Amino acid sequence: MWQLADCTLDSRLLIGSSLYPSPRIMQEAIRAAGSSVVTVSLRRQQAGARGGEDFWAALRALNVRLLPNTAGCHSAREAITTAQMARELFGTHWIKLEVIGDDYNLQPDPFGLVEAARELIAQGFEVFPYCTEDLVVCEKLIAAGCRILMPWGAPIGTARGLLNPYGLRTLRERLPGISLIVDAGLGVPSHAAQALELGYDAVLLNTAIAQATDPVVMAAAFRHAVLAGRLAFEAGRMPERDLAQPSTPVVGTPFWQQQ
Amino acid sequence: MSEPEIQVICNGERKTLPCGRSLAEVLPVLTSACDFAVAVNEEFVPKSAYRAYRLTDGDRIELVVPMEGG
Repeated sequence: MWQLADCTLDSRLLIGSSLYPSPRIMQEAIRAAGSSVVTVSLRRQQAGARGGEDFWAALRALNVRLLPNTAGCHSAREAITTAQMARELFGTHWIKLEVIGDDYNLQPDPFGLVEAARELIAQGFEVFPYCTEDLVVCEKLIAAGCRILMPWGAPIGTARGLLNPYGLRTLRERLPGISLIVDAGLGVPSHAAQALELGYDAVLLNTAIAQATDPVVMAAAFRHAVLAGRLAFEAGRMPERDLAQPSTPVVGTPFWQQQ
Repeated sequence: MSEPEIQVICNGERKTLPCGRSLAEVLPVLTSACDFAVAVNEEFVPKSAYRAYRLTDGDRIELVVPMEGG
């Protein structure tokens, strides 16, 4: 059990609801992941679009905590209005705040992010900012009132894992009282385990599960990886060394002759 | 004599609506969804304000529904 904002959770795996082959597979994958927090979005109603009534019915049947996002917003103003609509539509004050600064790699705009976070927190939101691992930007978000940060591992959908472990480790060391969640860029379960081994509180991912050949089995794999990573962090890893050191006792080695 | 009309943009599409109607009166024409949220001219309009909110010519309405997301 761990504490995320005002909520006590079992799972340290937060999961997205997008890009699954069907609503039924989405449901099965979320169950297999053991996740109790699921991200959602809001979009214009369009006939024949992905999502829709089937998706929404399938998600509601899971009885999970929803984390709406502001995906696609390019300014603080857009993100604030989207968050306000999400609060009413989904009945939650949680918001995954995305303000995109660059369309090529979907890198967050740190200036818009801080501006929007400050305003939304003043309006009573619990803000989960999707940010980079830049320590100074993260400190500005904390000064704006954030108590949760979600730095990327790699750009969204790239499956490259933790591109800057040093930067992520630095965040963990410098911000011990903040809930840190690696969001985006994970591709395989070992990436999630690595994040948890660094002391991150959780991971949030979507595409790595939804686009796997078998999303349900991959969801189970991520669930085990997150558990393994967290246990490893709590156990405390051995220090790295430059030189080899035998694990088998040297004393009493047969055939050893003192010269 | 025909009823006065206004032109609005709803989710990017031009719509013609009767003049002087509240948002609560025109929303059934604009959507069949049960769960939705609304912004007009990039400002959120809460459900509690639908009855009092009068649309005017040129308003830009965003009408959004739950969707999958990452």
